[in-house]
Amino acid sequence: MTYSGVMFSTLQDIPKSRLYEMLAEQSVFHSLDFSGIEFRKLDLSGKSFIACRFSRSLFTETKLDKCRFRMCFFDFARFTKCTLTCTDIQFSSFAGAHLNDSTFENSDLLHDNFNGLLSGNSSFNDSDLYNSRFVMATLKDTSFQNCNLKKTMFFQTSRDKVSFKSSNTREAIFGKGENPE
Amino acid sequence: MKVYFHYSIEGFSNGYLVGNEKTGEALIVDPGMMDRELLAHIENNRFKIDAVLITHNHESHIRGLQTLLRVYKPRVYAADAELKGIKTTILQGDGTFAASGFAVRYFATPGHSPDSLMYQIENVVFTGDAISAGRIGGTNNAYGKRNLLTHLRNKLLTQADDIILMPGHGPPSTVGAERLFNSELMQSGADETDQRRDMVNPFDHEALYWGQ
Repeated sequence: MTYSGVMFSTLQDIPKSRLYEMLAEQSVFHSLDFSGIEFRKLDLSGKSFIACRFSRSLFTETKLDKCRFRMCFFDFARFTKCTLTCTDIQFSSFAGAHLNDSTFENSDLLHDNFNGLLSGNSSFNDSDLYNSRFVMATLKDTSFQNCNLKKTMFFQTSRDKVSFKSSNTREAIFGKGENPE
Repeated sequence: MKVYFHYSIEGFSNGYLVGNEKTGEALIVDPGMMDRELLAHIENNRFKIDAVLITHNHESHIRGLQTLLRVYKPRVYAADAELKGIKTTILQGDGTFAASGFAVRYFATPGHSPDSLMYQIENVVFTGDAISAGRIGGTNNAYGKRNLLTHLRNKLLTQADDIILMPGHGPPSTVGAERLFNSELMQSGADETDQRRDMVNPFDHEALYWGQ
């Protein structure tokens, strides 16, 4: 059994002003560099992003519901009051990202890198986090209820008011003394 | 360059198909499994497979090699001279060779295994089991770990933060992320970790929930 393939291509060099126009016009995006761009009060629901970069981008009150991301990099991006429900994000990285008052609920978050994540008042409820990693993440008031945590790695993770209710924590990988059970 | 991620549930390993859109050639990194799905990616793109790059001789990374060689006739590159009875083009130390129209850099990174190699094509490094997101590869003893760390620091951490890492297991990462969130690589304590977190983001921290 194998997993679906995805694509990464060399990033296209497109002016940022044009990127905003493209976001409004198109529904599928390949190999675009959105790094450092501010997404404020946008509704990008249902769009697909393949091999795109969002490093250090700012997402504020933005809807990313039912989106599809493959091999995308959100490193050190910041999400404030955003929704990513029913979203399909695979083989992507959120390393060092900030989540504040945001939801990743009911989503497929497979093979994703959340290392160094700073998450507050956010939710991953009802999501599949198979083979994803939260190494050195700081989680506060963050909920992982009813999640698939098979092979999900929580190493050196700081947790305060984190709920794993109804999730298969026994199949997750915790560091020594870090198991919530 | 196009890179296709291919996950094998047997061994939970990542393999990669790297296509050159200009030449129509492609190479495969670690064929942990050769199946219809990977075959479809190759055939649908009409790629000519001319090279296989092996990061190390562990079953989960070479299980599909024999099947692959029944279909295609690529040259197999590895540090080990023979894989499952298949003769390889031996790579020793560090260097560069041409495959599929790419300049492929290779770096010896022994520690997880004596024959471990990383391969770099453009801004992507295929790390095998030398390093994965937040972790370095498992080693059998302190010497192996020191050896691996030395190679990673000299050959990976010297590169730019936005270099992408495609590991043999787990999700992708970048050099910048590993520099900050791989404690084994940094070999530092919690205090230094907190300092690094402060350095991570140039953003205003006041709006953050935890009120630092």
